[in-house]
This record gives sequence, C-alpha cells and structure tokens, in this order.
Amino acid sequence: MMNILLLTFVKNNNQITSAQGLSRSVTSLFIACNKLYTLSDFVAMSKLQELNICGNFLSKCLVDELKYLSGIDTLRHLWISVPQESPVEQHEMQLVRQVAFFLVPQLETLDKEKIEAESKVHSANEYGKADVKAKAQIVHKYFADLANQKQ
Amino acid sequence: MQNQQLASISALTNFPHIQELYAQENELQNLYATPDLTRLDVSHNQVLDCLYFMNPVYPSNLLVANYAFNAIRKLHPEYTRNYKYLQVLNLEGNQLSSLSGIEELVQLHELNVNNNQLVRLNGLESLNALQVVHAV
Repeated sequence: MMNILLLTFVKNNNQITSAQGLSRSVTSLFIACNKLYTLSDFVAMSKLQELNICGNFLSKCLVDELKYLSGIDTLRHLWISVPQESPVEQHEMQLVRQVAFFLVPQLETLDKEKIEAESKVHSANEYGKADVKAKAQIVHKYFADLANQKQ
Repeated sequence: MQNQQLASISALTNFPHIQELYAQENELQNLYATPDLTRLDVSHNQVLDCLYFMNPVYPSNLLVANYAFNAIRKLHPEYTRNYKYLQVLNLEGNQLSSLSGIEELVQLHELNVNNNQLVRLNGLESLNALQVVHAV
C-alpha cells in the first residue's frame, strides 16, 4: 500500500481532460500523457499548427476523435502514438495513422515522420470517398476481426 | 550564481541595475528583485510564490521568468497583475492544481506547465497573445 501511495506521489504529471479554457490564439500545444477523452473542443482552435496528444487515447478511440481535427486548416504537425509494446498494438496504430492521413490531409508530419503525398493518395484510395462514420466503421471492423483472431 | 547552495540573494538589492538574474539550482525560498530585471531564472530552488519578491520592487519590465522545479502551488493575481509584459513563463515541475491568476499576464506568449497537477486549463481563455503551451 505504501508503495502504491509513493508511486502516485512521484508520478506528478497533469491529468487534463479537455482543451476547454484554452486561448484560441494557441499555435502549439503539447498535451501528451493527460486524460483527454475527446478532441471535440479542438474544433475551435483554428490557429493550431502543432499538436501532441500522445498517450491520451486508446487507438480504438482515437479513430473516432480524429475527425475533430479535420477542419483545422493550419495544423501541420501531429503526434499521436507512443512507442507501442506489442506487434498487434503497433499494427493498430499504423492503421490509425492511415486514418489520420485521410481525415487530416493538411498534415506535413505525423509522429515526426514526413507524410509523402503517396501515403495520402494510398489512404484516400483505400477508404474511397467513405464518410467519416463509414470510415470509423471500417476500422472498428478491423479491430473486431483482430480480436476474433486472437481467440 | 548557479548551484552555489545559496539560501538568500538579498544582497542583490545593492546592485539595482542588474537586468538578468540566473540563480538556478540553489536553496532559495525567498526572492529579491531589481527594478530593471528583464530575465529571471530561479529553476530548481524552493520557491513557494511565483512573481513575488521580498523587497518592495516590481520589475515590471520582466520578459522571461523560469520558475521550473520549485514548490509553487498556486498563482496569486495580486502578484501576477504587476507583470503585463511577461512573455515567457516556465512553471514545469511545480504543484499547481489550477492556473487561476495567470489571466493577468496579458502578454504571455509561451507557457510551460508540464508535470504539475492540473486537470483543466481554465484561466488561459483571455490570453490572446498565447501561442505555445506545454502541459504534459
């Protein structure tokens, strides 16, 4: 019990749950490893150029949240993934990245990697003109298949 | 004056024209200022109050203040309201649970509040010059 208390005390990072209250003038926001549960508040952040949200969402949830970044025309650099532990998690995150190319095509880099036009085209072809909801469903189906395979 | 185990810098008041003060990694709890101070680095000390100075001086032209890794729990508007020109404030590694009081720093451009105990970012709404926020 003492150990648990000690750990809680030492681990002293923020646990911010939303972007509410943030000035709209902000261009760079580094908010990794918090407790964001939605990106819906980011719709108003119309000057954002850099955003780091690593370690806030499970990859499954991130698929549904990326749509809120679609309208931020100024956004160029996005960080979403922490180094993944298992190959399955890596694969899941790779899929989420493809979704990000598609939903946030204005990005220049994703997780520090430069996005080639090729990737954007590939992503667009892969998912066609599917709307956001349909696209999320495709990914969810993938996750469900993956879970079935594991059993 | 880095890493000198200094417990006080009250002698600073004898040098009123100092513009930059670098006193990181000491044991300072109380700070003293000069009227012309524009840059202040007191990171890695034991400071309890942000932008509070023991001597009756307001370095109102302060532009950059680094209070990282101290023991600051809250910001007091009666102190912050004296620094309308502050552009960069580093509060990483303190014990802030709220940013209330920060709204007085109307020219703030860059803020670092990494490794605090924040659950929300309220207080930043009205800071129209704010561009960079670190809140890991």
